[in-house]
Amino acid sequence: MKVRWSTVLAGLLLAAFVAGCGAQPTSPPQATVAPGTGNDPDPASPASILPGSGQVPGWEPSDEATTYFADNLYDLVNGQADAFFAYGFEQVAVGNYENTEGASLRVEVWQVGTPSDAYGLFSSLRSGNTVSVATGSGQTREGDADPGRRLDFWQDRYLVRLFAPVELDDADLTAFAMAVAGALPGGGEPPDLLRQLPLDGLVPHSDLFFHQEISLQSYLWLGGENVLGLGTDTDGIWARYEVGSGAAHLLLVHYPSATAAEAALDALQASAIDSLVRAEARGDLLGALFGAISEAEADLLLDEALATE
Amino acid sequence: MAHWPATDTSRVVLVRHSGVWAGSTPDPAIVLEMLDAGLSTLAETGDVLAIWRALFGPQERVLLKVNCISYGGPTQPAVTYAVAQRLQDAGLPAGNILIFDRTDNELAAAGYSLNEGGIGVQCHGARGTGTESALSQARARFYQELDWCDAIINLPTPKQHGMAGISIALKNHYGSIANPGQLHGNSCDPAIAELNAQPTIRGKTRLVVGAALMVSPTDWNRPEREDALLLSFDPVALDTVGRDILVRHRQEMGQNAGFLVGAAKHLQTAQALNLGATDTGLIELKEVVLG
Repeated sequence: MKVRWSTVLAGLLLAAFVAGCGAQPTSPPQATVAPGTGNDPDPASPASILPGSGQVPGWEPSDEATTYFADNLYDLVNGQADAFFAYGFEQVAVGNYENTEGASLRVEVWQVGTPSDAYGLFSSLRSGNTVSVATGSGQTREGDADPGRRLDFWQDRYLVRLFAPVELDDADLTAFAMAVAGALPGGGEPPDLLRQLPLDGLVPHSDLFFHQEISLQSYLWLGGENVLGLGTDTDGIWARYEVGSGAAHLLLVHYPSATAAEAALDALQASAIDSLVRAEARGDLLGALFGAISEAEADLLLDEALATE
Repeated sequence: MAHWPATDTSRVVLVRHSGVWAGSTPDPAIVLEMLDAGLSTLAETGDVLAIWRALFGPQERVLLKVNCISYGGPTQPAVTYAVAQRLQDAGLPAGNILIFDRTDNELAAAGYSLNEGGIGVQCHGARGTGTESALSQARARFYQELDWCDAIINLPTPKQHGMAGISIALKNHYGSIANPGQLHGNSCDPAIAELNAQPTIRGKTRLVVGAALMVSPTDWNRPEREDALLLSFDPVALDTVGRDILVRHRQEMGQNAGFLVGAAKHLQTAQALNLGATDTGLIELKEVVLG
């Protein structure tokens, strides 16, 4: 029997009132500093990287920059903080800007442990809409963008994210990108493990670089039990391939030892994942193919991915 | 809030309108139309204002719990202001309506107009903590605004979540407490369900309106168009329907969606605590397409 609306309302109107009992407001835990003022004691800190007044024509900081560290990153991203910790998070500075027309833009500079971590964090957030970001002096970096709304790029051990709540001219985003990139240390090489990826069939910019399961699990769900034994001492790649008529994903993990790779292979094969086509451990590398791919094609890909010089 | 198991099934209404986006902002008139149609379908009556009056007394203080932690994909303000408009149309004083999330900065960055003590609908972040509740993993310290209000309208926006799989209505209340960081272990389970079972939330929540004009199936700062509102009296059922929307988006993007289902253990825990229904057979989904 379906309950009628009148019955529903009768229950709804029984809600209780609990009197307010206010405590004093909690003090903000973040460190703040005016962008580009040189007031930050660490000249290489993300806060010091943020453009200051007059550095981007037509734009000014609209408030003090805020820096978040490991103990208060939850204040910025709540439960997503662990996803950043998995890439050696150290600190992030957030600056907000306004132009003369009242449009706003937010700049985040994330500092993580290594350039590989910065690449990994970048790869975990990208949409696949790859752009080339001019960073000055004729240099460019790989970026990822939603035109007029968002621009991400990585450099050295930093990930830079620009967000516009209302669409802007791409030139504004580019101007901020150049200002930030020019203040960052140059360079930064992608992880060595990327060189193991076979190029034939690889979907460009589809790779995810990771260390820990939290970074992989939204791409490959293995039940949340860390079947693969991933941790801070493992490097992994998850990349998409289009081979023949099908699409597949290659998982490649570098373990600290051959024993660990063998153990992960055993655990993976025992997990009965439907989409698993082939898996193999060779030395300290584990490779596995998932998806719509023949066993023969999977063997070819695995053989190349696990090859060592 | 009356829902399964008090009813045979929990109803969730999904309202769509392909013309809701006028450029980069939603059309307020269409959002109001969607809200009216959704509530009318949910309550099985055409007199929308009568529904609002039945749900909320004329002098009650109503907290609209939005979710602005995501800079790029917050609860769309057009949806929240439509709800505030209908509360006023039903006779509630604007000053008794508080649009709330944990910080002023996040509300302002999401496009909300801060107003504390001025004329009109109130809007501000937390000003301190109030009551506490003991959960399995930690004591939850509610913001005092949750104590201040007589009633809550939960206004989440569907998002994937790196630990809990999804963040929709139930997870939205991690922004109602001062110490959410202590409740993220074991995929936030059973903390999410236990938090929502507290009288401060369960006893006051009258309606859930999911702002799904945009949803975030991957990165919170890369929301995708969905052109929909979700309405229910049951946050668990609404979360289940919202999860399925996120799953569809991820599948359309060629991405694995198993994580959204597997990690969202809190839905079954919430059902076990009688907070609502997540089993498919216990949910009645009604779709309304307006344009």
